[in-house]
Amino acid sequence: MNVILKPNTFTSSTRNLRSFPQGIRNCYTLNLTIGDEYLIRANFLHGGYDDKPSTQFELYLGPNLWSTVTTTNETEASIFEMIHILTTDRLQICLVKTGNATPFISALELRKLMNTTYLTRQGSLQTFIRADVGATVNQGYRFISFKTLMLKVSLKRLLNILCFSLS
Amino acid sequence: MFDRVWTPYNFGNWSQISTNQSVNINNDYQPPEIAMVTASVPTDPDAAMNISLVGVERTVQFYVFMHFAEIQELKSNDTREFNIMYNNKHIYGPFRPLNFTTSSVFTPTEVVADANGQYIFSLQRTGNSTLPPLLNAMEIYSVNLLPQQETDRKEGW
Repeated sequence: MNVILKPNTFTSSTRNLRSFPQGIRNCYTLNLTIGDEYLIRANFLHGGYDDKPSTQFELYLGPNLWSTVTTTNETEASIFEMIHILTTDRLQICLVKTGNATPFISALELRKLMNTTYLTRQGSLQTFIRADVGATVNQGYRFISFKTLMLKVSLKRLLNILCFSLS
Repeated sequence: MFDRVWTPYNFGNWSQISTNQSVNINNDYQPPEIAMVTASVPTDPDAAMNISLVGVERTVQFYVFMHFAEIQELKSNDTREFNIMYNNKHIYGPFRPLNFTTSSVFTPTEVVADANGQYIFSLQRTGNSTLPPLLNAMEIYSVNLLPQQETDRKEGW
C-alpha cells in the first residue's frame, strides 16, 4: 500500500512511505555483487498516515534480526544504519510483523563504500553514533544530500536511543 | 563523502577550536571537511579526554574510528602528542596529529566491556606534549554478528 503523507516540512525521502498491511514478512530484494560493501540506511517516519503512529515491528537483514523498529508518534523519525559486506549477490531487507502494528518504511538508502574501510573480524557494523566532535552548530547534517530537518528529528531520536555520553 | 550522517556533539568540559584553513581529508575514510575543521580539546589542558559508552548491555562489542587533524598553527616549540587508551590499556600512540591533514585511527578488533561493564576511551597527553589532546570526529559502531547464513534460494521465507 502506498501512502502520500500530508504535506509537511519533512524531507522528500520521508514524505512518502510504503506500508505492509498484508502478510507477516515483506522483503525488498536487491541484486548486487558479492563482496561489495554498503552503508545501508533504513528510515521510518510515520507522519500520521493512519491514526496509529505508535508501532512496533522488526527489521531484518536477510535471515538476521537487524533491529526492532519502534515509532511512538507521527513526527519522530527512526533511522537505522548498517555497514555490511555482501555474502551473496542478493541483499534482502525485510519488515516483519510482530504484533498488531502494520510495518512500514519511508526510505531505504544504499551507499557503496570502499572495501578497504570499516573492516571487522566478524559481523557487520551498526551505527551507534557518528559524531562531529567540536561542531559549532547544533544540528545534525549529512553530506552530499543535505537534509537538515530530518536529521534534526533523527538527532533527538538518536540521543534517546543511544544513551551515549562523553565526559 | 558517502552520504554519512554526522551528528554534532559538544560537551561542557570540552572546548571547541576551529580553523578557516582547509583540511586535507584524503585518506580512505574521507570524513567530511566540515567536521574536520573543528575539534574539541579538554577545557582543562591537563585533563584527559574521556569517551564513555554508557547504557549499553555489556555483551555489546564495538568498533571505533577516530579522525584527527591538527588545526592550530603550532609554534616551533609546541608539540601535541597523546596516547589513546581503552579501559586503561594502551591501544595507540604516542600520536601527533598531522598539520591540516586527516589521520584515522581505529580499533583493529572489536572492543568489549571490562569486568564492570565499562567502555572508556581516553586520550591522554604524553610527557613530551605542550598541548592537550584533540579530537575532530569519531564513529562508533556496534557489531551485529548476523549469525544466520544468507542463502541464494529464490523462494521467500
